[in-house]
Amino acid sequence: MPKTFEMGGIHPPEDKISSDEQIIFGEVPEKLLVPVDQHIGKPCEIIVEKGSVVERGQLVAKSTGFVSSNVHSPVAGKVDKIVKMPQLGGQIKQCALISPETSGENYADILKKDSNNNINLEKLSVENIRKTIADAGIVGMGGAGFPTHVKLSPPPEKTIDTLIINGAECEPYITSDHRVMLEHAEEMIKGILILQHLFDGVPIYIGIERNKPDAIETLEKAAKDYDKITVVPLIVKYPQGGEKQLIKAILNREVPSKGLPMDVGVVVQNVATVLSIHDAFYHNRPLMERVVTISGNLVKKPGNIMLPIGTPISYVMDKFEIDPEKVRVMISGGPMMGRTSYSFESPITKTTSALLFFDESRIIGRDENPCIRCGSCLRACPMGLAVAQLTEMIKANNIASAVQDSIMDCIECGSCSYVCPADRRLVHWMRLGKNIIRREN
Amino acid sequence: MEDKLEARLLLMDSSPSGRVVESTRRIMYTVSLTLLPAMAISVWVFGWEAVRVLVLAAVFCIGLEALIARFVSYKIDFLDGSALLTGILLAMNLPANAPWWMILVGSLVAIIIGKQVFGGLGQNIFNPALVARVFLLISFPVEMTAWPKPFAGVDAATGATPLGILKTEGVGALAKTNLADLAIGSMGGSLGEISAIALLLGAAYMIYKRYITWEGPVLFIGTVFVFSGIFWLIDPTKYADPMFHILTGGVFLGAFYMATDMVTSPLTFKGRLLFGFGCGLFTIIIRMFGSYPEGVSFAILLMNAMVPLLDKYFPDKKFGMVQNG
Repeated sequence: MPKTFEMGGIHPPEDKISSDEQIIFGEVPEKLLVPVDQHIGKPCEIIVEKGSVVERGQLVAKSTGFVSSNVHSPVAGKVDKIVKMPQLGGQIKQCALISPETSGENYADILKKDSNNNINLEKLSVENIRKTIADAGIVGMGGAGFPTHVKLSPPPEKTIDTLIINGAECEPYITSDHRVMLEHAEEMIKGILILQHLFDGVPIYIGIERNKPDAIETLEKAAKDYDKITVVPLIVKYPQGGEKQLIKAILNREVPSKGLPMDVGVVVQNVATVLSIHDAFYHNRPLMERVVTISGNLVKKPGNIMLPIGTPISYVMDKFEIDPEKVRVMISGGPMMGRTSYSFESPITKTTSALLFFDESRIIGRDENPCIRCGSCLRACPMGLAVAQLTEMIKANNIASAVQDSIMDCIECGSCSYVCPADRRLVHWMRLGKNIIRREN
Repeated sequence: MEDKLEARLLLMDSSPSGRVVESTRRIMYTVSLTLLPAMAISVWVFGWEAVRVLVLAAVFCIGLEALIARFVSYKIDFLDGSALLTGILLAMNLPANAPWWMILVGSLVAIIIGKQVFGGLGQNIFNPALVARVFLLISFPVEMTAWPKPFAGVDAATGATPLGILKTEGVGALAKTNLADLAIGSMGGSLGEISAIALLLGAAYMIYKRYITWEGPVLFIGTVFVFSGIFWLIDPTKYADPMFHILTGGVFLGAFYMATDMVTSPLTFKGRLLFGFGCGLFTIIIRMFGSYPEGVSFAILLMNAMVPLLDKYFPDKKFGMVQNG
C-alpha cells in the first residue's frame, strides 16, 4: 500500500520532461565563479587571493564554526580576483573568479582522474566519518543547504533509530535526483552504508514518489542484499520532499511543532547528498559538482548535466541553446520553492538542483485581489496553518498572534499561494512574518 | 533604447511561480450558474415576473458597484461576479411581485451597507443579500409578505407562505399541502425559497467543486429537522412535522447558499459545524417563539456575527501538535 502524508498538500502538473535524459557532462568553462557562501550558517572565510594558484579540490573558503561549510575549487587554475556577484536568489556575495587551466576539457575526464579508495566500513570511526563529511564541505543538496555534518551530529540525548533517504523529488520539472538514483544507485547504497554505520546499523528507508517507477526498481535491485534498506514507494503529492511530510508518510511519526526530525529519532538525507558522501570517501572528492536539471519552455532539449560549482549560467545557456533575448523568467530550483533570478552571470552552487527558463507565458508577478475567505489555503497547507488569518496578522503587524498561531512552523512550500484564487502572495507574507520574528529575537 | 532594455529585463517574484486556474471570478460565476435550476423553477412557478425581479436585482447590484468604484480609493472589480451573485441571491429572497423601487432599495442596502462600507469584497461580516432582505422585511412588511400564489399569472392573487399560514392559522390549516409539492417548489414564497430539489442540484455541484463543504448545510438542516421533530412528537396537533419545516421557508436556500457564503462563514471545520448548528437552532427558536413566521435570515445573520469567534476558538488541527517528541 503506497503511502503519503495526510494533511494538506497539492498536486501541481509534474512537467518532468527531462526524466529520460541521461546525465551529460560539459566542458570546463573559461571562468568559474566559486561563491564563498553556499550554506545555511556562519559565513566562510575566504583563504585565497588575487593571483593564488589552486589545485582541483583545494580549499577556497574555510568553515568558520561548527555550523558552517568548506568551499573547494573544482578545477586547477588561477584566481583572477575576488568579486562580489549577484547569486541565484538575489543576494550579492563574494566569489572567487577562477581561470581554469583545464578549460575546454570534458568534465567527465576530470572526474575520472580522481582517486579511487577502498573503504573498510568497520574501521571507520564515528569521528572520522563526521570529519570527512565536514571537511568535504557537504551540505543538504535538496535546496536548504544545511551543513550535513551538523545534521549527522545529534546531541547525545537524542537517539536516532531510523534514517530516511529523500528521493521524493516532489517539485515539478526537477529530475536531477531521479537521474542520480537511476545512474548512481550502487554509489548511493555505498554512501547510505556509511551513514548506517554512523548510526549503529539503524534501518534505512528510501522514499521515492511513484512517478519514478524506474528509480524505485533500480534502487530495490541495488539494495536487495541489505535487508535493513527498504525502498518505500510514495503517492505523488507535493510537498512530500519536505522532511516533516516525508517522515509522516513513511513512519507515521509527527515531528512536533518547532521541532526537528531528530526529535522523533530520524535523520533525513537527500539523494544527491548521499552521493556526495560516497564521493568524499571513495574518491577523496569534496563537494565540487552536482547534477542540475535544465528545463523550462525555452529549452528546446531539456536535460540533466553534471556541472562544477561556480559554473556561470551563461555557460549553461550556450550549452542548451537558450536565447537570452527570450528569457523573461529564470528560476533556480523548482517552480514551487525555487527563486527567480536576474543575472545570467550568477554561478551554480551546491544547492542548485535545477535551472528553469521561461518566456512571459509563465504566470508571475500578479496583482493581489481581495481574500474571499474560500479556505483553499487552509486545506492546502501541509502544516495545517490558518494561512489566510496569519497573513492578515502579519499585514497588521500583529506579530504576537502570528507566533501563537504557529507561523514559525511554515515550511514555505508555496501550496497556499498556488491554490489561492485571489492571487494573494500568501507564502511571501508568511516568509516576511517569519523574518520579522527572527530579527526581533 | 528603453524598449530594448525592457525586453531583456527578467521578471522577479517570490515563489511559487505558477498557480491553479481557479480565480475569484470563476468561483463567483460558477456559483451563480449553479443557481440556474432554482431560477428556472421560479420562472416556471411565477412566470416572467420572476425574470423581471432577477434581471433588475442583478443590474442594480452590478450598476451600483460600478458607480461606487468611481468614488473609492481602493480597486473594485464590479464584474468579478460577486455583485451579480449578490443580485441573484437578493432576487431569490424577494417575492415575484416585488416593485422595482423595492428591488433598488434592496440592492442599495446589499451593496452599500452590506458590503462596501466594510471595505468591499471579502471584508463584510454579514451576508449582503440577507442584510437587504431583512432590511426590506422590516421596512416594507406588507410588500414583503404578499406572496404571489404559484402558477397564477401576472396579476395574481397573493397569499401567505406555508410558514405564514402556520404562524397565523395554526397547523390545521396546512392539511392540504403535500410534501412532493414542497420539494419541487409548487408553493407561495420568495423566488429562491420554493424548490428544495433545484437548490440541492446546484449545491451538489458546488460540493463537488469544493466551493462549499457539506458540514454547515447538513448541521443546519439537521438541527431544524431534529428540533422541529421534537416539538412535533410532543404535540402533532399544534406543531408542523419536521419535513414541512425543512422544505419550507428559506432553509435550503439559506443552508446551501447563504450559510456557505465563503466570506461570511467560518474557515475551520469545527467552526462550520457550530455555525450550521447555530443557524438551525435560531431558525427554530424564531419560527416557534418569534413573531416572524420565518427565521432563517435572522438566524444566519446572528451566526455571521459569531464567525470571527468561531474561527478563533475552534481552529483546525495543526501539524506537530503532538506529544511524541
